[in-house]
Amino acid sequence: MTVKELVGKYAVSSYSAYLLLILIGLVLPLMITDDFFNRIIVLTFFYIMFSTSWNLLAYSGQASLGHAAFLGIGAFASTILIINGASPAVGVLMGALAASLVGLFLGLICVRLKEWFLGLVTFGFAIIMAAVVNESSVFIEALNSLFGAAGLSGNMDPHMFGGSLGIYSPNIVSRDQYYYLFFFAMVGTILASHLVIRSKIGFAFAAIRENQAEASMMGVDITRYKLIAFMISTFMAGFAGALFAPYNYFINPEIFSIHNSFMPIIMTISGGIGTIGGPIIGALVINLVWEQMGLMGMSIDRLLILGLILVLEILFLPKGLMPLMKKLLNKASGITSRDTPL
Amino acid sequence: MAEITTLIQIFIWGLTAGCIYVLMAVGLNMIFGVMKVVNFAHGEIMMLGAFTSFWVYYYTGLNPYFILFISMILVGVFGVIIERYGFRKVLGTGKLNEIFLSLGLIYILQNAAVKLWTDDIRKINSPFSSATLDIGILNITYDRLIAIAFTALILICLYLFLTRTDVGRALRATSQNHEAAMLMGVNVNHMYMLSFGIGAALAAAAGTVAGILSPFNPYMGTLPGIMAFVVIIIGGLGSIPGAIIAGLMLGLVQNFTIFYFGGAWKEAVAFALLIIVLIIRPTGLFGEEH
Repeated sequence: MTVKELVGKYAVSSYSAYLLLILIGLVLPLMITDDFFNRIIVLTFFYIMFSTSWNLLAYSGQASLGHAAFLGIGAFASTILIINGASPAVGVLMGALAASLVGLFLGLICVRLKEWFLGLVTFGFAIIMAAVVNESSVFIEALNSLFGAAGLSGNMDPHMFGGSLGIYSPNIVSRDQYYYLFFFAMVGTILASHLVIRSKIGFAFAAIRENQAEASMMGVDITRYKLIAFMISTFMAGFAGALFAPYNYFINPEIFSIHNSFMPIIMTISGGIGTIGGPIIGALVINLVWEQMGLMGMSIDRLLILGLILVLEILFLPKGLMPLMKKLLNKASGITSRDTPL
Repeated sequence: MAEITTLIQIFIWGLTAGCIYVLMAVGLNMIFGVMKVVNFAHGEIMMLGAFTSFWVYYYTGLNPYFILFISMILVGVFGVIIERYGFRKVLGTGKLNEIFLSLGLIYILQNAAVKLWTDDIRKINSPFSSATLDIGILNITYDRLIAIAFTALILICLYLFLTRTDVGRALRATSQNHEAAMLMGVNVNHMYMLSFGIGAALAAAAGTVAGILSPFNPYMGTLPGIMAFVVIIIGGLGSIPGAIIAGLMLGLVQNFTIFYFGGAWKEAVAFALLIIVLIIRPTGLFGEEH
């Protein structure tokens, strides 16, 4: 069997491609013993979750420009709960739920708004969340009385996931356990996004995105599905944030930064907006490029380059890397025009 | 109850803050009216305006209020370039692409400015920086009064340009109806460039005024940029009178909020106003359906 036949037989099917990726993900920690590289991969998983969450909202035609708000709400809410004695699993879940509730609230404001208005409101919301958390003396005082210092470093328990999620040995949270935690969380998020997009809800999202008036005429309840999109997407973002907080061992209002709102956008666009695989490929590529630039000692330059990448992509590659990947895959497997649902 | 002089003082501060929002929001509305594009990088163009003024001042030592006009012209030309080689390319390919392009511009402009000029705090020194108008125990710096006067002057010039000249009428015609304007022989592409140029020039004026009134660094534009968006939503997208009224209102509300509740609530109150307006009147105070 030649390579071409092999690829043709197995790799074209998106399911076997995903299965292969999952297998690689499962055995990767056995090969990687370097802490730094492990961290980059865990961060990639985190960004894949975050981008997938953003992509799902964009799939319903609502492009949030302030998704960091939900990331931050998830992180802060879960951390505050866990530090106050909630079990990690409950804390993470509640953090994600808190993000989802705020998402519902913002969705209610945004439901009548289209592209620009929606962008303005979400963008502003994240900035204002950051400003409120950052500057509000009331909030900081509450934090200080709870944790003894600005930010949340002091009392963060590195073992907060010890055993409590049921997949780890008690009280030991090693590098690999965090790896698997993020890995399964990521697989779950992607699977959820896949199921939503392929379900009736997903069809409603696509219909609303393509033409709201027509979708409404066909009997799609616009308000309901827009809110559903907001709630699912913000739940995912809050979940990612809730997991990120203990892994990072530290959270502060920086998590609401514009940069965190833009990362999922740049990643999803790089991969391919509106596809399941887009956020995965995009997050992988952009995060590796980003970390590589960090290793090369760039700080301001890499932000500049990120902006250039986004502008050049919008101008010359608006569909992202996915169509190119498909073309390569089809070429390798000898299929000329098959729409692989990767 | 606060002293009446304190209240007047806060009123003047609110008015000057409002003037900066008005200049930004009117520019954003000009661009939106003609091109149906909201430039998210408007705050960064404002920052470029401040830096242009700073460097012209640094090398020539001219009066900053004269430099303001030089800065408007230079940054206006820069705005035309952004329109021609950026937004023009993605017009009509979907609203999201236009949004993402302006996000990319934020990254590029902000970080290029940090790279070129570092993030040190700078200030444009006005010759009137220590001069105050004293009425009783009330004292107001001349710079704030000049800022208000200049904003009024610029808005009057813009009004005259839009209503009394052929180009201005063509611009308004394009804003009302692209196709009809095109049929009447208006070069719509030129109108796009012009509107973006005017918008950028107004942002440069806002940046210069802000740079004279308070110190700045390359991150100065982010919050005024957001507030300008809030202003155009409250005032109504595309409505210039709406932008003026909402801009002054937001400046006043924010400054009184700072006085009564503290600086932390400045942004929160703006967002609260925005939400209330969106719930009660989603098209804004003076907006039409889009």
